[in-house]
Amino acid sequence: MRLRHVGERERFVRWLIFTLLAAAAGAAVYAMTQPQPLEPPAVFSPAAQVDAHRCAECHSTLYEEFQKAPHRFTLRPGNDSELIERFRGQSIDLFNDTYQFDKVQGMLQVSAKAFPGRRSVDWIFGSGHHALTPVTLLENPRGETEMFQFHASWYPDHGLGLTPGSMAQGETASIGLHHSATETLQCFGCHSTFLAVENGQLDLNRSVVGVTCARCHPGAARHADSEGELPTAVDWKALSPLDSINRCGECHRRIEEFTQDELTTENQLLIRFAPVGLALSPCFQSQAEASRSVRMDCITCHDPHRPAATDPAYYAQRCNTCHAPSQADSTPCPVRPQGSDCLTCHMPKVKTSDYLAFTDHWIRVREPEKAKAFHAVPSK
Amino acid sequence: MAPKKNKAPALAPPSPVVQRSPRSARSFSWRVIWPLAAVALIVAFQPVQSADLWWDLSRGREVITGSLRPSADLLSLDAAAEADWLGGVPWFVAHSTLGDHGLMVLRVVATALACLALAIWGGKSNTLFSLVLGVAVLLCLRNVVDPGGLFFDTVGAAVVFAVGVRYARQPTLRRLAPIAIVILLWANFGPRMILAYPVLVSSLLVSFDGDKRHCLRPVLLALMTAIIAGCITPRGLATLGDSARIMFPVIAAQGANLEFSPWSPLARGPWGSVEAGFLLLTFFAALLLTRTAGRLFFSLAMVMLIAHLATWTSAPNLAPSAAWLAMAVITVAGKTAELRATPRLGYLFDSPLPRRTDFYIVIGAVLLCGGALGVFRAGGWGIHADLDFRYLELALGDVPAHGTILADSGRSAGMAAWLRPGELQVQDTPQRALLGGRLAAHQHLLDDLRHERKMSYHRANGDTGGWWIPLAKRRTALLLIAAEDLAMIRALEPSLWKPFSLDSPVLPYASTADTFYTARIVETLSHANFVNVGPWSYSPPASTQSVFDRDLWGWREHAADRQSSLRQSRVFRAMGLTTAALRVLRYEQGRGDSPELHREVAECQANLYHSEVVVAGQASRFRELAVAAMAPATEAPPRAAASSPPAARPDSLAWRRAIDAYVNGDLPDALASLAQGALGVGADPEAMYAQAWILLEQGDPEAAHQQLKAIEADADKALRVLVQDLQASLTWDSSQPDAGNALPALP
Repeated sequence: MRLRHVGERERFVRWLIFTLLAAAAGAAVYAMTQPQPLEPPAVFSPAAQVDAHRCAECHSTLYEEFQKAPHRFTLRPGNDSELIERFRGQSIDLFNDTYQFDKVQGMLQVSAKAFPGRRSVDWIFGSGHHALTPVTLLENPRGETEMFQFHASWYPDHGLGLTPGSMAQGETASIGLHHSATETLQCFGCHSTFLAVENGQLDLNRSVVGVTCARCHPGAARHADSEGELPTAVDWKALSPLDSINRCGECHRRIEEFTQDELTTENQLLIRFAPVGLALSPCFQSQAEASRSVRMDCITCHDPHRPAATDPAYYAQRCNTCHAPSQADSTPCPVRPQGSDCLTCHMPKVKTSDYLAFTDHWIRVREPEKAKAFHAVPSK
Repeated sequence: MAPKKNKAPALAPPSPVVQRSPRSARSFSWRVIWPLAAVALIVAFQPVQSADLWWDLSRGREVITGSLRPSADLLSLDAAAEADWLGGVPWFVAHSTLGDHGLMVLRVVATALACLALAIWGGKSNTLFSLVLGVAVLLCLRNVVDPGGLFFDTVGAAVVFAVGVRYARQPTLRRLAPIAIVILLWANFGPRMILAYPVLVSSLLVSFDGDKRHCLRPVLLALMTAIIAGCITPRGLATLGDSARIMFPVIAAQGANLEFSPWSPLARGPWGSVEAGFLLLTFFAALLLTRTAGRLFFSLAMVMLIAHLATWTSAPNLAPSAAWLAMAVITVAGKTAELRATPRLGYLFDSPLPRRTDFYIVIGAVLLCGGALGVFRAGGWGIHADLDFRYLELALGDVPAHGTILADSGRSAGMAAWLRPGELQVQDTPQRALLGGRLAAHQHLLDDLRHERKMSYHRANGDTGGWWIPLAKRRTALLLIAAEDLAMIRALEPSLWKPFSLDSPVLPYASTADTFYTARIVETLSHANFVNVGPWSYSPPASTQSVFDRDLWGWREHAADRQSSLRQSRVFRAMGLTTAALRVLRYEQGRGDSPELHREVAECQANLYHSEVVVAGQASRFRELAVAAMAPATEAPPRAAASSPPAARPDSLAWRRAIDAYVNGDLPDALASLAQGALGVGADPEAMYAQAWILLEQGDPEAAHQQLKAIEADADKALRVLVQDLQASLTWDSSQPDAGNALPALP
């Protein structure tokens, strides 16, 4: 195109500049109006995830040990062959009915007169250390994933028993305890490393189930991508004891989420929540006042990469780190000083239901009258 | 004399526009004025609906009573001064002097003045361009003439441009003073004062008539004066930053989601007459641009680009941007000697309006577009029902105020601040949160409530979420939630936050652990149960002949329209009161069905189906058939557990008739079909269960109870459990009135 006239050339330049400026303005508008979703919980963020195998490239020993850790197995699909064998062929009488577990075409299914047909067990919660609770999923009218938690769970010392939360009396035709969409996400959220959710619908095929590396080590993705140059987002050693147990408390509950009325020794519900009990323990609360450098948090006694120790002597040794008579400012136990079984008195297992017992992490003198009688050294 | 039609006007100098007859040049054209007046009437007579109405009035009241930091005094999380601290004063004074009607009077007066200004200009030019431009501008002002900061921003933009033009023609100190005064006033009354600077520059560029070599000094002088004047506020220099943040909130977003905020992008929608007016204005500005050259071209182009940049980025910027654009267009159009001749557009810009044709075209177009955009339906005198604080006032009663209030929006915050000044302390508002860098925290807290994230959790960016601890730290005693936020209402249902109003546009929630509100909560729960399963049938609230009632000046008995009823139904459904929701919808179906109504009924059926599956492992036949009959209308068809039967079909004519009647709201016919005995010998338990539900929806729970008792023994286990569950729910407070509106009535 030849612009023969000066006027036409000027007009062309004018409109060209206007068009370019308009395009620039449009680009600016586009950039400024891009949707910026609110920061999601870490468990819903795909960018924060990393395959545990990548962690194993540098942390092979920890990775190998973690293969046996309960956290890794805290959620498994209903067609897990090992789990199916624990349930298969078993039945339990509940609500004037018989709940029967069978393996059908590779899947665990539940039947009862209460409901027609069979219900597939889609997922099983729990590592099996305390219990295994099967669930089945459904969608609500808004397309969000909800679940039924079956009335029967498996317990290592008992076999099938009533699931905590299910009522034992009365008649019901429901297949289990119903959980709303948000409750379902919360349940799966604590038992997973990453949950793929879209508009409330869970896509468990794309999710990372079980508690693996990135769940407790946020920033593991960038740490792996940088081949270790960049640290993870949380340095556990740098956390204060309270922050440390609160990190565990994201799933195991935190003390600040309870009212003062609930924080009593009579409240049996607290026994299940170890960080809450620990935070109430005098030895946890007074660690800052110790004359020497001591630290007490969950990791003092538990290595989350491994199964928890079962030898009482191990835990006694941890207690005696501070409470041995040889320690200058310690308060030794007047009953069994430097004993090998502190837990029986101070952290006993307490039955919270017919089938479940948890170690009460509220470390304390549980019988103060007896302790007073033996008390010889005033505490500092 | 008509212009010569040249196919290729090469280097022809800008020719003057068509010479009008001496008569039309001297007099106003009523063919322009009358249509503008008609549009102005439509624009003016819309109820006041500014979401921040009560917030602005509250701020004004604080200033009148001596506060220099009204927002900080009203909010518990805000301690900063604010630039537009006087923004609420005129509205409060008008409200105090003239009452609620005074706000409408202001609206009408403001629209009339805008119409007058446009009519004077348009009447003189008497072209199709001036007529349509005037209409477009008036449409853009529809939401501006409400009390609020936008009014000052829009007026400020227009006036700054006008005084800038005046100064450009003769840049003297005497003409500089009005610039300073206007900008000073704008900065202390309106939040978007930063717009004054590009407005001023553009007005100078468009209008400067002197030697170009000497224009820099007056322009710089004007800018410096404007900057100094704009900083004479309690915020000082920070006024510029605050104003920029309000204009372009993305600057201060810091992790907040603006898409669902008061500053959402224009493309987010919804679009209506205001947006249509803006597009029309832009179209004519673009056409005018084709007639300009040189400085005029670049000035007008700059105005268009910046105005659109501001508007598309944040929808509330539309009105002040439209005012600026309109002033630029009017000023450029007035420079007839400098405009290029464009014969094809001569009819538009140059020819005087014929006597009838264009007049009728424009009037017809306005009426058609107005009707399509719902302008007439939404019209009225008074204050929009969404701003009716009386329900909230009734709910709060005389409960002693304590703690703080988490308000989800400016509307909620404004109502609380207005009702009990000095007693109820709101935590924050979105605008103050934006300016204080707290908007992301505010939105995250509401999002956590909406997703029932009570306990602490970690976010991907390392922050901590969960609502329990933040609400405890803020000493939160009340939540105020918009009735439109169904997700929030649904999420709060199982929590310890309970509502103590069922029909307020802003629902108050208090904690069950808060003894101050226990009685209110218990009473509301009783009401909720009654409207759901008690002997209650819905009727819209009666008119109280207040400014909030759309009762055609008392001609209609009821105050509410269909949209109000639909909103009430949705609130009931979100609260789990599905039967109550259906009762509301049945009333509206009786007045005439519609696709929207049908959709709501389908949602209710899906909810009830799901409830039955949860309770009994499977739904009743009645519910399966109802959902199947309405399935295409639901957005997310319900899915039961995998082994449930597929979607059922009626296996008899009686069932088909019953279901058809039921879904269309003809409950008596549905009952009759089920009772005919055509379903077989003996009583069919499923049919009897269906009858019980229909009787319950009709508001006769006693009859439903009797029906349920008759079927208990014959039903299979699932149906038996459903029957038992329904029977157990049929208990209500017998002290409630038998019929009519069981909800507390407005005085």
